[in-house]
Amino acid sequence: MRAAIHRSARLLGSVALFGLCACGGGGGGGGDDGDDASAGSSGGSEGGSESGDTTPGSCTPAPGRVGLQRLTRAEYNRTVRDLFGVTSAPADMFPPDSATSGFDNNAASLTVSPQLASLLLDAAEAVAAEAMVNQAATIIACDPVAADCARETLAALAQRVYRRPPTDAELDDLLALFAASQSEGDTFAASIEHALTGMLMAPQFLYRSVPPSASDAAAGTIVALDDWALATRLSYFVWGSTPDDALLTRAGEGTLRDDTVLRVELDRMLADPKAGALYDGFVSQWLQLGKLAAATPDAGAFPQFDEEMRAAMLEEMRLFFAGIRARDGSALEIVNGTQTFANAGLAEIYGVQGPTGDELVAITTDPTQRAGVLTMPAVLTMTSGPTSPNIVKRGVWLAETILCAAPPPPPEGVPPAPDPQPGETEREQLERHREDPSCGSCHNLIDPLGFGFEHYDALGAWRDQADGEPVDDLGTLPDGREYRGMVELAGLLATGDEYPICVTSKVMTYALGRVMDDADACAVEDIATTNVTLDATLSDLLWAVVTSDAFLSEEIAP
Amino acid sequence: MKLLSRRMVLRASGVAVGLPVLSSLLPSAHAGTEATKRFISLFFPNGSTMRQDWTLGGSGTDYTMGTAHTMLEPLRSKLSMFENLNGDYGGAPDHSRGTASFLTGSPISDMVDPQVEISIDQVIADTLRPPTSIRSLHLGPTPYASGPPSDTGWPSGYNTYISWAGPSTPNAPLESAQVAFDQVYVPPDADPAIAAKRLRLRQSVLDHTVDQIDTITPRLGAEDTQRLDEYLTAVREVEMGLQVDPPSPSCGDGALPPGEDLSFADHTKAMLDVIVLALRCDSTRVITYSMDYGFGNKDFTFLGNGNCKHHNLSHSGSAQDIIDMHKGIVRWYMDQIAYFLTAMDAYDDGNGSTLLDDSVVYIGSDVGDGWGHAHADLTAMIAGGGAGALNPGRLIDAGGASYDSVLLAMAHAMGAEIPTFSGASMPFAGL
Repeated sequence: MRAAIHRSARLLGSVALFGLCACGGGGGGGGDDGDDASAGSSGGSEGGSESGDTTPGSCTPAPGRVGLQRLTRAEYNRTVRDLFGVTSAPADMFPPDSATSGFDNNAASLTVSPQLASLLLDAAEAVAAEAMVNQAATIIACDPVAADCARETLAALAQRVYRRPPTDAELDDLLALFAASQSEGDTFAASIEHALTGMLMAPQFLYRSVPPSASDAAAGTIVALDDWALATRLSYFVWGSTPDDALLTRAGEGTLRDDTVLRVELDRMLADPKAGALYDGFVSQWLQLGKLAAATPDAGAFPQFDEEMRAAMLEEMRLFFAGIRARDGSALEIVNGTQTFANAGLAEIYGVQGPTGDELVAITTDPTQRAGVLTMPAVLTMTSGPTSPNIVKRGVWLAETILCAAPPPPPEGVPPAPDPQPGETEREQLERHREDPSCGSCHNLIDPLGFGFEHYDALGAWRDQADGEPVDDLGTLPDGREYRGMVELAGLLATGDEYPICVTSKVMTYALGRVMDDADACAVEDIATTNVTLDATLSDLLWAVVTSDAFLSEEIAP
Repeated sequence: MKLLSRRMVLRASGVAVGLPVLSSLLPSAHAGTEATKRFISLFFPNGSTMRQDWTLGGSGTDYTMGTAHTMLEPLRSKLSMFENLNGDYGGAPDHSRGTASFLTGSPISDMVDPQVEISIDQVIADTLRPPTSIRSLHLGPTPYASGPPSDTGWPSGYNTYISWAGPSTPNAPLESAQVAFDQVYVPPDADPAIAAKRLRLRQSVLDHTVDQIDTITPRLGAEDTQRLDEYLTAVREVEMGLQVDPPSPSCGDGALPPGEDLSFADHTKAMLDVIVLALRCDSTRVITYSMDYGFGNKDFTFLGNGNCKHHNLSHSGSAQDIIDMHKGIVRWYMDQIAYFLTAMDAYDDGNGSTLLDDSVVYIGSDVGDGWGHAHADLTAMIAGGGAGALNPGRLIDAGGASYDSVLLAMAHAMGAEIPTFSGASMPFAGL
């Protein structure tokens, strides 16, 4: 029983680890930035069921339910790019998607408003027109005068657009659209284009997987995804886009659930450049990298900072992850790796000799000072104010992204954060802040996480003094374990279970498009324990996620 | 459970929605002599520095405008300021509750599964069903790099959006002034036959969409059915919009497409121009504009006061220079509002009234005093005459009234005679 509580605590960290918190952000603007998505804990609960298994080692499958999942703006753009070579990113004109649990692909929050529907119609027309310009010869593979040419053409097209073969009824409906255009005097190609516009407005396209027929299983039963739905889930996970013809072929053969076939497909997809969507869609949202765009280092304090440096910081992050992927390193490298990339500007921040130009080249950082993303300039800059680091922001970032122990927002009766006093260091100001019991209940946990970052200045360079005093980088984890600096923290993360469970839960939240709840706790822990270790690789972790019950099956809706 | 869609709610309350309407059955845009009323709401985040610039001396028509409002003096007779108007947000006074409640009046006690009322702009649109091509228009700020700001611990949208079509369905706004412009002003096809054909084909696409949704819906569980029902409702709205005759081309005289990639300041002005254009062309009569999202942290360095992020600044303490910087931002918002109201007041709406005279314009923020997230004494004002339904030009002491009663009163001023709204069964008297 204790194990189950422990597991849930990690997933639902906000409540379990922090209890009731009070008070607003700390000094100098608080722990919240508000400029960017930082949607809190990985494990905001939706009050899940109590079906999580309590016996270690035996995990009862509780795959949960995602339901209809509308394409996000980014997914829409990639999908029409991969289907038809449309590169104009038509979904950029849609209203924004919002993040739940830190990720914008959460099925429950992907709603449709009338305003969006109107723009969807505009986009469908534009995409269909461009598709016919780009691919008319491929799309119309038969002689238009042949009796069945329209039906053949639409059947092939619908299989790609709907991500499964259309039913006869669906095909009849598309032929009716074709006929409507014909009766207006349109050409064969224009009439296909019209039917394609219809497909692009249909829920079978707009939502990831619309089943061709009802399941006769009872509500609450767990059923395996069919091969088409599995191909779709896999493709939007790895590529953030629609399955390609090869993957649809596997689905059509009905062999995708075979472990050998599935593994070949996963490896093929990870090797494809389209897998960069895992970085753009998952990593950047997980680590809240959008916040870097809002950072404003002070030109007086940091004359070396400019837009090129901001871009280089993000590029370093991308290359760092690409490097781990390329050598199939461990997911622990994310928080303790020293193989990264720098140009001249970043090398100066790292205190590393070698890079001289604007191009980023491979470097090895000082293992006594650096630990993966925890000490990267991008992270350290986006959690700083203009001239100095923001201890609270750094603590909250660590809690939200790496430990999955996000503090809840302040409850009723919150007093404003105290004003800074002249001559006071940030640490002193925070100490005074925590003296108020209503503030201390939360900040006693947040601030000590931030203290561990004290050796890094507002751009991430190593420093030995802060506010004129020698740096004190003693940090404390919510459970009371202490560490000196981020390298020691990385050691704790490699041996403890907070980070493995947290990163696994983040990956699964993104892969499934739903919040992880109590019922998922044991599955998440099982995957984390064996796949986020020194010996396991990143592809082991992704494979474990893809072959989890939650990924391969779905609960029938009530 | 989030199973109550807007359509279901409206069906239950006797408002007919979801059926295609032929334009011949709708009243024409300017039938008779009755004034055409519009509802516009403008939102800006992080409140004001109430202590110094919003709470005003005097009473009634004899009051002193705050230091952030001096540019509104020429419009004094066309707007009223509130004092002692309170929110009941059902929990900690924070940006999320303040934003989600701004037009819904909803107290939110459950952060995990928040539920809000359908917002007042949507209630007005559904009750009045104006014969416009766009039922309601929702505009927002320039995009944030990684999506709208999100408050720790809150699910999607509650700290961000002000217009809600259902308990968990926000009307996410347009973030491009160019897209907004193209939505409200569609130059008509030169050839009516081509226009008619295009309309028939678009209609056939939407019919197809509706057929597909209807075929799928019976197969799915309640949650999915609700998601598709939402899509169906949205498609029906588009369908009804297609039935409306396009506005006369001259309504857009002098309007220039704003273009893409505008600065925040240029974008704000362009969006306000789009609102005036939409009203002149009668493309819609219900508009909300989040000049920035709740929790917004736009960079106001362009005001020349140094590093200046709005939300951060609002919590940066009570030193006078910080207050002055925050006040500078409030003042900038008031400058935009003055620009907008002046443009509204310059357009003759017929019958000797201006566009502003015929409108109800509700302007405010998620909190009162931004520094401490106050939910008492909210930052709020109301402009326009509501075609005679409002009595502007005053400082309105709300006496601690909860602002859902003000939202109800505004609906009544618009002619939407709903009996209750959120927690209010009596409209606030004295608008």
